[in-house]
Amino acid sequence: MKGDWDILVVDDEPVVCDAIVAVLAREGVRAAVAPSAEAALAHPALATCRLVVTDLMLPGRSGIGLTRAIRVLHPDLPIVVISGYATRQNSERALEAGATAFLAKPFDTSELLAVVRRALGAPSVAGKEKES
Amino acid sequence: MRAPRLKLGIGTLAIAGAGLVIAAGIGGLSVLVVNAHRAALLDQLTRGADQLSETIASSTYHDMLENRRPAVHREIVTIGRQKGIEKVRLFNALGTIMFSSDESEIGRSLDKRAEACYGCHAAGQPLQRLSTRERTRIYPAADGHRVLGMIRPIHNEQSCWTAECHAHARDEAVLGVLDVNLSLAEADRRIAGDQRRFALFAILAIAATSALLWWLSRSLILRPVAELIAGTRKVAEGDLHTTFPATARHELGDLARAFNDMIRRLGDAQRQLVQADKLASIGRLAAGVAHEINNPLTGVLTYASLLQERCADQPEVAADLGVIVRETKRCREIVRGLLDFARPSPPQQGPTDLNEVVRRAVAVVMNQLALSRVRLDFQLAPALHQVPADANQIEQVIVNLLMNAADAVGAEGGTIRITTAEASVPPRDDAADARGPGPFAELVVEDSGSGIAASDLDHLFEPFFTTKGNRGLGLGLAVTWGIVEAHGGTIEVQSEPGHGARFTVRLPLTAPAVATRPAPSAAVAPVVSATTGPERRPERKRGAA
Repeated sequence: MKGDWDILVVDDEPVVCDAIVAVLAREGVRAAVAPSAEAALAHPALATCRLVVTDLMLPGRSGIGLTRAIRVLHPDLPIVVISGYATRQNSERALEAGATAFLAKPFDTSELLAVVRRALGAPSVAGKEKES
Repeated sequence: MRAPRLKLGIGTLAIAGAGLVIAAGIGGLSVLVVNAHRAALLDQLTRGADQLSETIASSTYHDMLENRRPAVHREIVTIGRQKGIEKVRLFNALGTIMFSSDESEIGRSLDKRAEACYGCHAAGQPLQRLSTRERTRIYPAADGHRVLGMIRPIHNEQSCWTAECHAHARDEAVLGVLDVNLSLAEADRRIAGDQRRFALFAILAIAATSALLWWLSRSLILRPVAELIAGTRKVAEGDLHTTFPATARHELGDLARAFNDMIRRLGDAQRQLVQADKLASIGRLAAGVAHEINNPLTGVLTYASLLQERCADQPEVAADLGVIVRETKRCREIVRGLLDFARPSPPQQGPTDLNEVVRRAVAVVMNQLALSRVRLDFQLAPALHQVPADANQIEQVIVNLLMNAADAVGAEGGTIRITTAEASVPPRDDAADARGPGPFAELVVEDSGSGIAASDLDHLFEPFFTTKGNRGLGLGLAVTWGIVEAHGGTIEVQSEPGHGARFTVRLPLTAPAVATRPAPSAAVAPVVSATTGPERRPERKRGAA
């Protein structure tokens, strides 16, 4: 199944990863999972996926650091940063680092799907989007 | 054991100092006056003695010349008996007493070195002409009283050596000495009387001045100072509601007013510190809680939502899952509220039409207001200058105030009045000091509800203080306070239980470019009346983005 992933989900909380994978699976979106920024950068899915969803606060390199690193490797790859610590500063930092959107945890399934659909539908557009 | 240190009060020092000055002044004056009086008396007596000597000399002149000794003796004795005259006597040139009013000493010789003779004979040679002062001496008599003695040399003259008695040769210069002694007892008594009167006067003056100073220092200094000390102790113990009576128009009144001002500012500063401190602690707590709780909440919300979809054909299960979804979202709102409060975003200030923000806020809370049978009354100033403010944050402020007002009005219904206006100078002095003089934009949200208890007023803006029981988190007004503070404005509340509450927010119109441009004309909005509402309280929405 190598190379068949649509999305790479990066979060150190398994329940969050599982929830996202479960929601996306219902829509037929295949998601790979990585527990840290380092694991994500080493993950084969990174080269082929069409969207990265990453937590902001990760062990080791943060979601911001991961976003910057991915921006260097894949300038057009949409990145959605999610965080349980959703302040305006954090969302601004994420968007400045190159994230496509910022989503506050806990999110509605519809919010997640809307963001994912938009990213997958127009992967080359870096339209900045904030959670409501 | 150490002896307690003597405490010298201002009154004591003032009385002691003034007493010393008065004592020295009156004492010195007394000495001068008494001395002058004494000198005048002595001078008068001396002249009297001189005159008396002259009188005796001239009245005995012919008796002497004709050598009528019994007559001379009689005259001297008669004069010597007069009041105030101690003794009158006549010496010959050898110092033998020839005549005296004290008959017992007649015939006695006096040593030329004796006191009476010293004036002339001290230099070895008798002097012929002496000044009045040199002829005068004062000495104590046997019984202790003082005596003024005056000698008058009797000079030889032609009639003396040509007289028939041939008693005196031509070459004798001085034939004898008349010695008149006057008692100084009366003069000394008068001087002593003067001294007593002066001393009494001085003591009375010192006592009166001291009493006056004591009274003045007590009523003007000691009592107000004691009140200030007691007040500052109360302040030191943490009672920042202390006020000093500041009625006095002198410096201590100024001091009391300065103290009152300082205490008020201390109170404000302390409240702000407490608020900032709570903010910081809650910030740390909230950051931890938000991160820790939001991950499991993500799981709960997502899986509950998925289950709800999956159980769409089982309405009862789906409804129960709906409760889980709804309550999880409520948890999310609470945590977001905490974060909003704990990590307030710096306001993104831009020219803002306050009236427009009011309308947006009203639209947000309209459902809630309809529920509470609230009559909304707008009094919006038509030509309000634009305020440099973060429209979203100010909207949140208004939403919070309106929600509180709606809660206060309760199910019975009532009126909420929203007023916008411009105030040139804020009514409170400290606000003027802190923010500079106006102009200010003023927003007033006034309700006809249950009002706020006086004991609650002080805590109203503290985080987690709520009067709504478990229906409120107690962050609304704390967030409101933080936003208004961040805008450099003030918020104050006036309320009496049973008579509604009035929240006044003042935002500075400081940016000149903004302040000069009037907002588009906004006519007074129509009164909105609403009397019906659904049974279930709708979910509260926060005004924050």
